[in-house]
Amino acid sequence: MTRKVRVKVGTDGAVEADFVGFSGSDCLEEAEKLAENLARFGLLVDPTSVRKKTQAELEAETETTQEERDPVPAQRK
Amino acid sequence: MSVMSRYRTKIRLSPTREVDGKVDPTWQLMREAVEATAQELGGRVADRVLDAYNKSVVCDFAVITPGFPRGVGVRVDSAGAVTFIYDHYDQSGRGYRRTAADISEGIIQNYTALAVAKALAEMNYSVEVDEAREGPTGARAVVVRGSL
Repeated sequence: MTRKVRVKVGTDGAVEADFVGFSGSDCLEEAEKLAENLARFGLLVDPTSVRKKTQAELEAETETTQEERDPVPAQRK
Repeated sequence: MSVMSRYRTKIRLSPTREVDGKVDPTWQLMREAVEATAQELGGRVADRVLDAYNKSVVCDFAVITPGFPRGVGVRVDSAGAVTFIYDHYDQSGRGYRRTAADISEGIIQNYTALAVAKALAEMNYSVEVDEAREGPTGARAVVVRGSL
């Protein structure tokens, strides 16, 4: 599964990060790596909330990934 | 495990603009953020702003726009902390507080988005940047997407 990170930046500079396609604690490690890299670019981040995704959100991700994997519908004869 | 996380951010530039004759990446990023904000608002980049009495105040970067010709300045102190300077006083009592705040928020948002895009690119992600409008006010959000 492709690993994706979606980061939304608000007008006050607050960010919301969504890690898709990571297993186990990989996404937390990736988030830490991203925070370290951001500090090198002069952006210090302070987590205000971290939550596990709901089952509905996870299912929506899986559906999206399936569509991306097979973008052309099979032709019927 | 997949998680959604929210972060507060703070911009902290390198205390020195140049190292060994090369512009520090954080200062380069601030220049890019200031230029992007000026372009979005139909303005230009300068190195000083004016107060309500037309007195010039020198700063590290400034954005001058048609809506706020006095400009909003960016000052970086010896520790790299960023301060926005502007004079929002208006004799008519209307004031320019909101206009000036829009410019400084634009700089913060653009800096943050550029930093995220560059950090993800360094982690070998393919990066795309989009804009979105949110909520009843249609506030601007910048969305940075990275895929591995």
